[in-house]
Amino acid sequence: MDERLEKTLPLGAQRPGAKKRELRQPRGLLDAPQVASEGPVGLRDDGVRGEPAPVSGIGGHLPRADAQQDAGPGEPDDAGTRGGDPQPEVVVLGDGDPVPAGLDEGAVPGERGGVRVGVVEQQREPAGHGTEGDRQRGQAQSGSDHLERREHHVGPAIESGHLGAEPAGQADVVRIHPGDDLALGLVEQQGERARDAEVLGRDGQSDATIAETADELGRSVARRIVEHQHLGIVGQGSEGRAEGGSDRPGGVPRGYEDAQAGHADSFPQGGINPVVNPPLRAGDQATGPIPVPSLKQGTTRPEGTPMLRTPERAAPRHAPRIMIGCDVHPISEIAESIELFGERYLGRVFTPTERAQAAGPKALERLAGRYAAKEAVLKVLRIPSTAAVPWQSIEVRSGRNGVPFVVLSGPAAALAEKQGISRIDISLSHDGGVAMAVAAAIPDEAAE
Amino acid sequence: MTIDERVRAVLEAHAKLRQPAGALADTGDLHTAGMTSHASVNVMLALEDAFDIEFPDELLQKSTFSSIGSIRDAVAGLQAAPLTPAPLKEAAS
Repeated sequence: MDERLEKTLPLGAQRPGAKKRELRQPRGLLDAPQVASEGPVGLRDDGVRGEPAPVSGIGGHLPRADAQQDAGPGEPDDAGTRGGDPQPEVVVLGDGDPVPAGLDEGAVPGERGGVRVGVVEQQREPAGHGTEGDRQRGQAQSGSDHLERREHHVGPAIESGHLGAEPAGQADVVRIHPGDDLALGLVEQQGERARDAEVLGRDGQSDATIAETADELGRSVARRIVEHQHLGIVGQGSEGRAEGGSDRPGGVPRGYEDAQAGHADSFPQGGINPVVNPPLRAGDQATGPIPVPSLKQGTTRPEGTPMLRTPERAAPRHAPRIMIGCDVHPISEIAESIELFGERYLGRVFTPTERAQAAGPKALERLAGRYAAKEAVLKVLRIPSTAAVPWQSIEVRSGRNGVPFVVLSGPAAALAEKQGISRIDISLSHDGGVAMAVAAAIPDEAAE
Repeated sequence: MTIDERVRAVLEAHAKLRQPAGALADTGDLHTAGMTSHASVNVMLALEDAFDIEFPDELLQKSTFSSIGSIRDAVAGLQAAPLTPAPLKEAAS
């Protein structure tokens, strides 16, 4: 995107007394572990409080989406019981986070056209119709100025049609409709990696609620809005979500629940995942709905589609950090070193146990695998270049069942202890003249 | 041959560099020039042969073998402070 799409939330404009009611709403807002458990990250304090700016109302089925998004603070707001058009989940990406690739998958020009219609529809919403929150926003966003601003904000996103390589601004908001778990998973995956993104609202959160949550967390939000349906990911959210909304327990995000149950109907349009199965374009063969492959059943993705994450596959943000390392090593180099330096080489690199367990017709392969494992473990330990770690301080042994494991000693053990690593698992293999190894560890403090 | 020349000769034979060792700058990164970690094992052993030294464990760090200059310094240090010979068994008894 060439142009920054800056939008402000009326963070300082909440009505007195509205906070508690807002936060009681079963939106999964503070139920999200990453929000409740992690410290403030990602959002910049840009001093934008109090600047009135409308942020709601851009939805797939816009009139209904507007009505829901304009729901006043504290009102019950179950999308399924209110016409079946769920509000988008809202993800705030911190400064510099790249907007996850894949959010723009399946962008369709027709979807883009709907955005402008929605803007117009929202403008026509009469002031005074609805809640106090509606009126406040209506006053703030009345007139053609708002329309221009909205189109100004939306336009570049529509025009660009691609956000994959676009870094986030100070704080970007990506709206994702409930049920589009794959898109949410992409964002959460990105946030997990960057440690600079949070889901501030989901499944029916009003903008005021999101703003209040940010306020509750001591932040201001200057944001760029990226309505992901503008990018053609979810064109509408009504059909597949119209029923069954009221039978869910409060606080359970709809899409998440469905995904946990492994239901293909987590997606709108009768279980068709619009990411995996984007809407047909002109000239495409009309082949009818393509069933969403069940990820639990291990079905393969349709060719050309990105690998996506759903909540059932995505690790929660508080998941322990896994440290991994890998290495490949030509077997011939082991033979060459033995030929050149003989016992001196073997004695410097391998322990007596390693040499004994590697003995046999495949000694070179086994030694090459063990050397690769040592290097992989060194990568797990993230050793500084000035740390002295003799090769023998990383010993690769074979268990009774043949499964290799690592025994650290000396400097390697000290480095591991310093990083809270008490166990490193490894896997070895060799083929085609090359041995390889993968090592992985979960630091103790992160696993707690 | 100077230490520098002998170091470059060892590197030329064992470091598997992508360019002649003689063309490398004194501070040029050997790992960037193509020396793998396993090649550095061979370099270390060849240096021990060439200079009749033994690299102690505390020098087995990546930075020791990161450049010609760092290797030369390590070799010079080991030559200046040769390994203390183990006490003779006769003397111990």
